[in-house]
Amino acid sequence: MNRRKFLKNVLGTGAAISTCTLGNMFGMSAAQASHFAGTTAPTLVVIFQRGGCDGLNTVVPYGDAEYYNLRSSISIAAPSASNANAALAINDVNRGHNNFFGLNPNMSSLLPIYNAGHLAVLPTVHYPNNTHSHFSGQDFIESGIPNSINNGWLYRHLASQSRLGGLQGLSFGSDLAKSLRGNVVVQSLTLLRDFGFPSAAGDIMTRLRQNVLPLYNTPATANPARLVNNTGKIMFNNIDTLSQIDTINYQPANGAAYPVTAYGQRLKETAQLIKNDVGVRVVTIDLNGFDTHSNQGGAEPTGSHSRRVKEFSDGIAALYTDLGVRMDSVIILTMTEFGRTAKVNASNGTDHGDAASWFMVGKNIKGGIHGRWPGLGQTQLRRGRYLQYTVDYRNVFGDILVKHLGHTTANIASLIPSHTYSPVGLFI
Amino acid sequence: MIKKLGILPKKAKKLSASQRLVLKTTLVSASVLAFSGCRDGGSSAGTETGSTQAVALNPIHDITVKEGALITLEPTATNSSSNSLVFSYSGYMTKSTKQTAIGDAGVYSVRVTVSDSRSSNSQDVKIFVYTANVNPQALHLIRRITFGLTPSLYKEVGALGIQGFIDQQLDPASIDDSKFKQRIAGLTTNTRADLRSWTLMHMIYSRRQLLEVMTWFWDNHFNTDINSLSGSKAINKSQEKFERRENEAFRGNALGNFRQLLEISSKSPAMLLYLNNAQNRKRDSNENYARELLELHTLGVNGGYTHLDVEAGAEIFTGWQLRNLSFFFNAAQHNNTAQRYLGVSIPSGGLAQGEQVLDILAAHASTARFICTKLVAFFVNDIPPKSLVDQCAVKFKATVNDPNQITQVLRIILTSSEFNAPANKLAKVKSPLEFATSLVRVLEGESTGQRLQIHIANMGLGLYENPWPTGWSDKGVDWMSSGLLLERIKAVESILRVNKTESLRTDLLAYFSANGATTADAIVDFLLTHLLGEYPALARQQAIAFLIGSNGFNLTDSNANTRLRHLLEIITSYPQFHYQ
Repeated sequence: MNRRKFLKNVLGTGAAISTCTLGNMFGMSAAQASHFAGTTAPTLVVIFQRGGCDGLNTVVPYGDAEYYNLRSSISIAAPSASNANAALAINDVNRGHNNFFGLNPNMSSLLPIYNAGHLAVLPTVHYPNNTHSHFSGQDFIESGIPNSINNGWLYRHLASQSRLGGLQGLSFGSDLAKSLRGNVVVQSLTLLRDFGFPSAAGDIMTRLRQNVLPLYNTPATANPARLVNNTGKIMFNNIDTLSQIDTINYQPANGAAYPVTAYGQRLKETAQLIKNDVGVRVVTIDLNGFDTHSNQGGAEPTGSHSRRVKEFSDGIAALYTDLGVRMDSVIILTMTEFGRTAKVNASNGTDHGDAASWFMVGKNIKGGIHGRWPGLGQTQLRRGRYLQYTVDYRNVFGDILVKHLGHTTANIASLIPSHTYSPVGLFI
Repeated sequence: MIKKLGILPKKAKKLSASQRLVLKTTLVSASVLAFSGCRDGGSSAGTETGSTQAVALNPIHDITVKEGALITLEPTATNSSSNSLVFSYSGYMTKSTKQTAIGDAGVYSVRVTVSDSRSSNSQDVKIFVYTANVNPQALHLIRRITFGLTPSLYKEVGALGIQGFIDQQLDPASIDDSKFKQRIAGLTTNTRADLRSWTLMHMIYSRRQLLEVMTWFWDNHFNTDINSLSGSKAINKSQEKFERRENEAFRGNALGNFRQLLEISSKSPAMLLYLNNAQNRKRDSNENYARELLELHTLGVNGGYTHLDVEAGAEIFTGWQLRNLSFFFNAAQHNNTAQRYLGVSIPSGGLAQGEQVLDILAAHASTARFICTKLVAFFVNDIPPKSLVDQCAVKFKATVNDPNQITQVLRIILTSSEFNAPANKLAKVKSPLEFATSLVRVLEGESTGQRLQIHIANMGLGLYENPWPTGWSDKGVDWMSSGLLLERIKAVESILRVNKTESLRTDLLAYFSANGATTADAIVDFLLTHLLGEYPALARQQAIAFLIGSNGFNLTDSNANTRLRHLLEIITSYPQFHYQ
């Protein structure tokens, strides 16, 4: 299948779009537009590890002896210079985590970022009343409100700052991420390089604009007309801007090497979107394959869990490297719907659990390890099976909303209702 | 010359529609130059003077009318003697006018004969009657219980009536599907691409459309992923076989009994591999299947089970494994202790424990609600009307032991006032699968599905490759995104431009002629009616503006095919083509 992208409406190549263009595009004054189009505009990249990433084999609590009792067949050894498959030590003496946690050895690309103080590790993130359902869990995390769908926390953030429309929110993947769903449709991309027509399609855009766009511009109040029309308007609005970006000849900076996968490509395209100053403020990206019920493997690079966390880490490291100074205004947050059972099952996998490992990358953050360790002892585990959470994910959102995305603490009550915000302290 | 005109339509029969139209127009325009006969004002008898030559009809243009319109023929003749002329009509018309009715769409022929006392002359005239009338209820029903409207199916439903079509589709054995059986007779399913093609052929070409829709519903409800590899090469090489076996078993019971469907799924190698039950061993059981069985296949996430039921279920299904590429109960790996499951005591009993669980689940009130909610959402509205869900759930529960349980539930849905409520018409959004099949079906083209399946995957739906146990969503919000909307437009553009059977081969000129739509207005009306059903005036204005443009449009134009292709791109890109 030919996946090459052809430019169908040549407006220029590679050049950043002027603030003035952006202002017009979003129906704002140039002054308003410049507020967010600058290179220091805070940007958030959210990576969702779908399926429930096994936190205990991602951030390995090698200092907790119970870990080895529970997981003999898939455990990862404590750091050791002579063992290539041993965990990679990460210490945070200030917060009392010394010789206790190590990263899965397949995540070595994150180690330099940790050592630079730019990686926050949160091994025990979750929420109360877990049902262990992938779907309820993902919905709750992406919404931030119990039993709420199509009301995403990132959507509420953009809406509260009047930042809907244009490309300020952007979701990679087939469907629009639930965190970006709301009344106004936000742009989604399968891949940026596919967001245009092949040259063989000729001047189809001219015909579409002339004869089709007027139908999408018709006012619609009821679904599905409203949903379809709004989606079409966003598509027509953004296609020229997005197809200007040359994804074929792009060379990542600073020797950054992205995984050659859809996930890697999406991160690379995220870097391009940020560098091209198209106004993007929030990006969501998924990585699938973490539902490791059987034969998940241990530290060996061929294990199914290890391969996933390697792709995950290499992609983050590449984006961090590629963005260079642009990383100054970018935060990368990673999440997953749950961690997995503390004990390995008889098919050498793990089932749905509670607390999970989340990560945050940024230049102006408090790198290190956040959250009290609740322990893996029989009585320490919830119902004897599940790692307890000590950080409510909504407080992670709160820190980011306040310290990175420009909200006041008072705002959090409306952005994350039915929750009392208590800062984690992830930012300087 | 005169005689030639008279016999032309007969000779042209063997030519393609487009060639025929070219010839017709050429000769008609030639005749305008050759003759300058008098018109008789349209009366059925006329008088000519001053000639001794045989009587001859002046060329009569083919006629295109909308169903329900009055056809009027106004033949004139020339070169006659002074005798009175008599015009007569045979074939589709027996007099100079005919009132067409709804359901008359088609291509017809009328022989017009003029005679005087000494001679006579005949000409065959084609009458194109096209459908541009909407029976909203028929369209709605077809949209919801088939993989897309075809012009011939629309006529068939007109003949059967709404209730007749529902009855027919609920009794698939009564439908002669021999043509389709022939079409797939030679197909193999040894590769994933071939398996997907085989599946698409059922959806596109079987006349048992509701059976196919429900086969898809269950295969998707009990989703499995063909990429669920195991440690065994023999098993990994058999994934296509497992998926086909499962699909055929669902088809065999798609309108049947839920308990049977549940057992088909629970013992299917595809499911045993996908949700890891094949690796579920006693002591430290694997909960994957036990959880999704409750959450996604039967009770639903809020259906009233707890973690204890998940854990007990995992133990009960230990030992449900594969051997020799088939289901095998391995007693040695089964935890044969008594369990408590959803409040019921399950004594030790080996395989019977799991089968008792399936009984409990199939008869559970939450299952009735969960399945009926999903069915009503699928057929009626993404936000399923509670009144109808309630009704269905009562029927579902009351018919738990009936072999035609699902038929009875579907009959309630399809004949309900909720199904036909105006608010629920065109209220859903096509999935990528429905989008693609509806395009192929409405154009009545040829497709092997080989390339079509790639287009469907690009639009977001990889057949047999969904990693999520939920199956593909049926909700509009999950398919309508700016990225996927562009993929839909790209898919249509590519399918029509490439025009090969791998995706869809169609002869647009022949298609419009065969459907009686031979003028710009008729073509636009026909397409809007069949592709959109109901549409705003702007849709027609834009389509007409494009097709007629500043130079007009004629099927004989050298670029007619390209223009029609572009017209189809435009109409399929309208918001309304995504509704169903």
